[in-house]
Amino acid sequence: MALYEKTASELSELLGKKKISAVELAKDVFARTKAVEDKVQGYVTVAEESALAQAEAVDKKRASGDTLSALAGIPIAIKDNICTKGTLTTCASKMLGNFKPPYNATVMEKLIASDAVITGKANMDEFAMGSSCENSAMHPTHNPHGLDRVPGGSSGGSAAVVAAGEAPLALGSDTGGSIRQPASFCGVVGLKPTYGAVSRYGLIAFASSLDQIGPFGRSIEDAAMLLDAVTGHDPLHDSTSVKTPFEGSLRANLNADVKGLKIGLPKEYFGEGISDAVRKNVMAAAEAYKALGAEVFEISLPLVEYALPIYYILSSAEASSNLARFDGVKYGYRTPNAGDDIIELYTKSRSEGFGAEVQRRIMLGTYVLSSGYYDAYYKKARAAQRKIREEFANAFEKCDVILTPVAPTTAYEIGSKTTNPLEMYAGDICTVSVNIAGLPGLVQPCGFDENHMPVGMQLIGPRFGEQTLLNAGLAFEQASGLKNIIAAL
Amino acid sequence: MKYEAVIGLEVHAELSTKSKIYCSCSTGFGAPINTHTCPVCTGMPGALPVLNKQVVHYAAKMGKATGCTINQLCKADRKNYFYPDLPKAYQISQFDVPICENGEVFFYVDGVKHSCRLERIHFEEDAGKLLHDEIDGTIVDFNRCGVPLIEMVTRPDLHSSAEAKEFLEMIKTTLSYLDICDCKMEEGSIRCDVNVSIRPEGSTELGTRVEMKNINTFSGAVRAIDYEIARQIEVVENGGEIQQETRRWDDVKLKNTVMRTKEDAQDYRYFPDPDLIAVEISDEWLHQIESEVPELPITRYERYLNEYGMTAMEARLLSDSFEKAELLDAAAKQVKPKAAANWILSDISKYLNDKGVSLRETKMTADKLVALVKLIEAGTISGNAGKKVLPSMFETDETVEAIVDRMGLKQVSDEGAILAIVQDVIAKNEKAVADFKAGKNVTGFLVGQCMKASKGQGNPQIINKLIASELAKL
Amino acid sequence: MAISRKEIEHIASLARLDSTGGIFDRLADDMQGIVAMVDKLAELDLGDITDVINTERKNAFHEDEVIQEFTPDELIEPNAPDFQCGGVAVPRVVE
Repeated sequence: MALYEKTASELSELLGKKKISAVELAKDVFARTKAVEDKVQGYVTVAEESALAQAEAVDKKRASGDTLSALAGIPIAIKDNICTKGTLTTCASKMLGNFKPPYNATVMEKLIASDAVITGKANMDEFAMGSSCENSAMHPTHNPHGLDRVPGGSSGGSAAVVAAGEAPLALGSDTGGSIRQPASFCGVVGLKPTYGAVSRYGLIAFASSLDQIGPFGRSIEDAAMLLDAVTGHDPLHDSTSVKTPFEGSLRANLNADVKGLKIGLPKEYFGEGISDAVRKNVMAAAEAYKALGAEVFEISLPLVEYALPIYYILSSAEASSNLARFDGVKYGYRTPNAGDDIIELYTKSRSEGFGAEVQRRIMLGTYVLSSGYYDAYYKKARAAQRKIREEFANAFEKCDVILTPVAPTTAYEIGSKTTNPLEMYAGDICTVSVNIAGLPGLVQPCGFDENHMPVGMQLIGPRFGEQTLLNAGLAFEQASGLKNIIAAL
Repeated sequence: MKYEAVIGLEVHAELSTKSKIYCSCSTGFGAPINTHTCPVCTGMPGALPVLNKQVVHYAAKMGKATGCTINQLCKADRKNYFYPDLPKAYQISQFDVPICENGEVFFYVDGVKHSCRLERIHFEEDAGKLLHDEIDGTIVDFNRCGVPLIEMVTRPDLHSSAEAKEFLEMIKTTLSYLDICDCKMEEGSIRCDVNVSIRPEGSTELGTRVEMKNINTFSGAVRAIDYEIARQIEVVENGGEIQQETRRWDDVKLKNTVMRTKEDAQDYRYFPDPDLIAVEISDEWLHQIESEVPELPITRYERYLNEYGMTAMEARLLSDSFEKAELLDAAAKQVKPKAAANWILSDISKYLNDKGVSLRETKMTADKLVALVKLIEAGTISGNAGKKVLPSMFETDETVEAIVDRMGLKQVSDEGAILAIVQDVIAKNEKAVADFKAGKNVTGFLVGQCMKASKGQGNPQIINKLIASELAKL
Repeated sequence: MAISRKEIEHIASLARLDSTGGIFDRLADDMQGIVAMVDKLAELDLGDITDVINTERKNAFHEDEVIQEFTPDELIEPNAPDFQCGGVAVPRVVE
């Protein structure tokens, strides 16, 4: 087995025992990248040179007898909306095509402190708006399991490079499903942590109250390992970050025993609109849990019907304000066509710099906050958000985790949903409620459809229920053997 | 027809915190361009705000000093608009739940007590500075971005420029009492926008209001208000109608011009800032804040008038300065207030002005002032000697007695000792004695000679008395 | 509710987006469908639930201490479209 085919946990052990070097590993991973990246196009920036330098430094540290972290020497891809000091961070937008942040995101500081090796910056939908990676201003990313299909989005690049063996781990961000849906489409593990568990400092904001950074890996253990490294209270930089009860101990406390675990199946998530392949595979997972001794029963979460409008109102409102700073003045794209008029400089820079989807969301967000519409849209959506939180809280009185599909379908063909934005939005139905409620959500592969495209399942937990989710995920992973799936390319 | 003006103010004061409201950059004034900046205050992508605790403390303190209700649970909101001095394209302010509401400020205008209600006080961040002189275009300096401000919004309770001026002075004095603002007008520490409308005298309805911006001094506010009242009266008298608009005051040309009409009123799309969380001021914290609010200037002013028997001018001068008022009140526990006040209003104020320092930068204390006054009252030193002692009181840690000794300023009040000098002087000045006998007044001359002979230390009253009695014996 | 072209243009001007550009016509069309989608929220009866202040978490502060880590030449200059005299330059603005 080539090194690029191993999980991060396996690699960590090999590195720790000095059976392989970080440089050796990095070279193997970049060789794989050279072989497949033309087809996958998962990266915006490949950082081979700096990665090899980091790997060399790690090997030196290890040789000098330093005790290193589990991530030391492990290659990790970073979504291109996470600020990396001095390295292009484009959000896959023409607006930030040349932007090199003057500072590191908190998660980057943590990864650097862990001696991780950064492979590059992964492609995404522009400013994380989209579910297919087709909204990238750079290029679309292809699903490694079917190159004519989308990898999902917005963290499509992160999911695709992990599925393609171009990196064992990746960081993504999830505002309405942007980690979980691409994980599902690409057959990898993705976790959207409890809101606040990972610092957002340096994550270029889409919707501040919903955004969370989270890990991709090809196993439950790998996802736990990466989350352990990036989680943590960041009081100096992120007011919304919190101290979690599990800080850094998820991997150590993994336990695959699900006997007596109460798993709720919300009937509203399995209705029409969900494809047969998805329903069948997720229901099969439920059966597998029963066989493992879990208690599985139906529950009801009726408000899912309103989740999309609530999500699109809240996320677009925040986005319209968060993205106002991209005005051509301080950084990023400035139109050459403004003449001497500041308003024209703003308007043209923004219209030329942002893609169509970003402009749609800014328009919607501006509309729902504008005078005369605020109460009917934004204010009401905030109130409805509270109600959704309550609905989940009530559900977690009865069950420990909730099992649902991730998306109505498996990965679809590139270009098939780009004409009508509403069709694309409808694909977010199973994931957005988790962000609205601030809960953790774990996605992992649970089967394949008739075209051999991966099907994922979603486990939703209560606030700070990450350990429970990962334990349940591990139990299924062991029972199903669906682990470390690398696309044949 | 006679008209009444109705005036409301929006006063911005920069809080004198060390660091900015949402990051740890310095708030220091006058630094080189863009040197007090970081990713947060320049609106870099991905940067996030964290609130300065002291801002909450200071804002609530002003609320307590102005009789406001403190909203112990409040939040920050975004005010969205594009302008080059606003790097995030939104200002973090407070909208529907400000930290303080429903206060009232009292002040005197020509001896008559007035009041003006405060609708609210909220905290927010300052914007940057636009520089127009360097190039053809405009350069943005972000140093002021994120400097904490409180905005105080009044009800339309003011009716003349004089009232507005006294209200503003009282706000300034209160801020300096609380030590939460530098109050340096030349650095823009306090700025205000003015809302003016007019109505026929006796009417209770509010007229259409005009907002005026770009007012940088209190005297400028007076000029702007007087101009606008006159302008509105002229419009109405000529059969016109006042338009709801924002006008820009030009304090050089002494006139205002339209900046924005009602039609292009901005839609700021306020909403709660999702990067920040709720602010809760516990009862304990609030009590702490309350305990730090000193006796207010107007209360002291009234006390100085009524209890210390001062003139309005004296009471105003003393109560306007927290340091002077504190010094006076501390001294007044041990000596006559009037005596202490005289020193503070004359020589102490002169010293501070000449040196350009504040009391706390000197070594003057109430105990020293008390000692000085007592030494003079006891006749140990003369009033003139007191003036000589004063600089050392500001500049050294010596006791007043030690300074007096060191400078040899102690008065000789021993009648026996002085009598010897007087007799000696009379004996040596035969011409003066002759003149006295010829009916001339020589007392002044002889007192001078005695002072000279005593090296200035003889108590002049005693010398006077003894010269009179010795001359009478001749 | 349907949203008029005039309203859409007003929204675009608030957002500083060009409503005369090439993609704007499509954007304006899309807005109808998107607004209709979010209008579904009107059906939801929330009784008297409001959420003026989210109190799930309270009080995150920094102490009043100065930390000055950046210089303008590393913070602003590298990404500024037009950097002159120590700051970003824009067309002349005088309000």
